[in-house]
Amino acid sequence: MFWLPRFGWAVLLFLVQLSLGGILTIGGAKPDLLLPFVVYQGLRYGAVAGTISGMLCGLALDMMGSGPIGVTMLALTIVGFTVGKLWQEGPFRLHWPWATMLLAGGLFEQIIVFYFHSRDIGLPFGELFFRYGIASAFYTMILGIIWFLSPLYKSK
Amino acid sequence: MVRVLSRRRIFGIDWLVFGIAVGISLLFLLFGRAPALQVARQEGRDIASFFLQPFRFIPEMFTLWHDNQVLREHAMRLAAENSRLREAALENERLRGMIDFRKVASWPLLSAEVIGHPGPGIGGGVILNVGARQGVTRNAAVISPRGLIGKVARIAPHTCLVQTIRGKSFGVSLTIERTRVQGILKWLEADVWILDGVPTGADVNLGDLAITTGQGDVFPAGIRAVVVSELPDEPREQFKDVRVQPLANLQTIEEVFVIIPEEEDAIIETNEEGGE
Repeated sequence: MFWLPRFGWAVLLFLVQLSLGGILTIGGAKPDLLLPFVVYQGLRYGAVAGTISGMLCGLALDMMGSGPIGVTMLALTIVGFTVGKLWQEGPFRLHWPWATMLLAGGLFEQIIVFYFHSRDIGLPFGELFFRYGIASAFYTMILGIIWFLSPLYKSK
Repeated sequence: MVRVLSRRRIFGIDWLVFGIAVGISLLFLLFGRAPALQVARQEGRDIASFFLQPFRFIPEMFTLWHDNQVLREHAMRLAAENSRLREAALENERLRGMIDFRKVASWPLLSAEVIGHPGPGIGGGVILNVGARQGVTRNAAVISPRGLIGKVARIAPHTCLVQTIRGKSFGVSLTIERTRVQGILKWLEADVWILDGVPTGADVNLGDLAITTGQGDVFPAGIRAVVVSELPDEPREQFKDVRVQPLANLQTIEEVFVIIPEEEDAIIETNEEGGE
């Protein structure tokens, strides 16, 4: 039953993401509250936990959205796996792994999501990504730092 | 080096799980539009909406104070306007009776609450706590007491997804209330809308109110939608891009109304959908 608290956190963040999504949006930049969870799983428990967390969280977000199913799922799966793999087996150690991984993961997620989203709404991908995607990734990183600072400090 | 490239490293359980997860994601991407998945998506929204109910107090807390101020101002304005309209209604009724005008039917409204804001911030989608069981149909107009919100894009039995005017999915035909100049409401980017197709010489001023024209059978005529916020310094050759702002705050909407169709229309719509 060790996974139960993690599942509870994921569900809670998912519900907060859905209910507070509108309020947290600033000028088109919207944070992804589940990304810090996925990155945390990858850093703390490894690539398998990161992959599974990313897949399930992404699927849940896709099911609630209006875009194609599988987009966020694919993005978060790759993020969760890569974070876990890099942290466990990477040839280097980052000074601020939490913030760096969060930002890199956020940017990657936004690239994937906005690529498919731009095709849906008929706007150029570059314009969307540079205007909203980068801001959203930084926004997620800042919220993630505030949110997970203490648990990560204890774990690593 | 040998250890890193060993069989165990390359084909470990983590790679296997990753491969399966990516494979499932790609399958969803390929077959995401399949009817069965869409049904599952609708059911998922219904389930999530049940669990979202306790979280509704959080956004409400943020907007409560602001809403209170706005409502007080509205109440003051409406009280004054009410007395004027009462006079106008009496006069109108008298005149209509005299020239045997058809009585204009009012819109049947269904009140609903916003229970979710899915998708990217610019996407402009909100989930409502009403669905097909409550009589909501696809493309039904969604309004708030302040103005136009959008239209219903997808329906589940107890919830529906609304595409707001914040997006490029559709345009809305509007007319300036004061001068009847028409244009198409288009979203450009975050917080920027224009009234497209307004001729250069048209009489449009800052602060002019634009309402729906009723063209297109989605939005009934007369819904207040936007207010003119900026006029171009150098108009294009034939048309000028009139910048407008929606009357409703799309980021903080909590309670809305869905305009449900008349019974006959609803039956036709439901049959076309193949739903309940």
